[in-house]
Amino acid sequence: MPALNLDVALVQATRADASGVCEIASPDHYMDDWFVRAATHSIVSIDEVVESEYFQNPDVARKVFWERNCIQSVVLQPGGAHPTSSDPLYGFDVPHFKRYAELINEGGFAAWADAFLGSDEVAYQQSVGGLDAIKALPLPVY
Amino acid sequence: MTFSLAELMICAASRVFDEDGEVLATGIGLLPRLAASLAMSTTNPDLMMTDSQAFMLSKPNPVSGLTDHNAQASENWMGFSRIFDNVWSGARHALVGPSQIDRFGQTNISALGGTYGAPKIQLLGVRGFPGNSICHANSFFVPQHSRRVFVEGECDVVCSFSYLSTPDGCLLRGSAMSCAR
Repeated sequence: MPALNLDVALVQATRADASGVCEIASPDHYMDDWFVRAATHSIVSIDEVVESEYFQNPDVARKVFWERNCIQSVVLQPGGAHPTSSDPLYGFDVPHFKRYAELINEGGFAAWADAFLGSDEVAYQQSVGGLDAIKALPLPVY
Repeated sequence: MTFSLAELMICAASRVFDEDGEVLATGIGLLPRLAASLAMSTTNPDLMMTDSQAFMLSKPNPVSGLTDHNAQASENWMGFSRIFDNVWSGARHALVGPSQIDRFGQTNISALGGTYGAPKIQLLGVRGFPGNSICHANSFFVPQHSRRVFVEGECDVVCSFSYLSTPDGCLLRGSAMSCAR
């Protein structure tokens, strides 16, 4: 099977520095390393920005799963993973998933977008209860 | 001695892991998962199991009431990507509940009725079934015995291959082939 060459990859990390060194503190980074290696342009959304010295701690450096040349854009957006999780900072929003499924059934993606998306991330976060509510979402236990 | 039907099925299903040796046991759904936990705790202590998130365990987790993954008996990190390294090695045995199973041993968890493009009911999709069925042992847990599950002809969508798919009519069991006819 031929490789899938992605134009763009959008991944979430816990923290990064401005050059694109990313820490994923979650228990799993899933397939994100494959995505950013396959993509021509990889965008990482992060909850917190750090100085490069942050990665001098070898325990932190062990949580970096690709090199900074795999990342072309860094977006600082606290709570930006909502409605999915950014473990260990916050869990996923199950009530919002249910509301999303209801709205999609009723009127497709536009119904959800009209109800929640807003004109920017601030408006979106306000419509789902605010950043503090996102940060208070409990982590999943399986 | 009295026991419930569910307890009987858990005990019976756990026996599929008896002869497996040191492989990853994956029970999907409450009763299959309890069957795998029972086997690991009794007849086959060499079995391996994950916490359903990102770690391998030396002792099965409870199926409810867990409040903190840090309290579990973790052995090693086992992220999602690494599960495929295990699958491709063949050292795994999945116990899963198909929505349909046919006389050829093919199963379906993808969609029911209609056409492939517009099914009557859309289910999960084929998920890991195709790869599982060519790589490692699979057992099927079917609590509802009806013609809706045990279909005539073939499954509406074939998600896992069958003994008819191999020239000598054999099913994969672990990393070895064993004849099913």
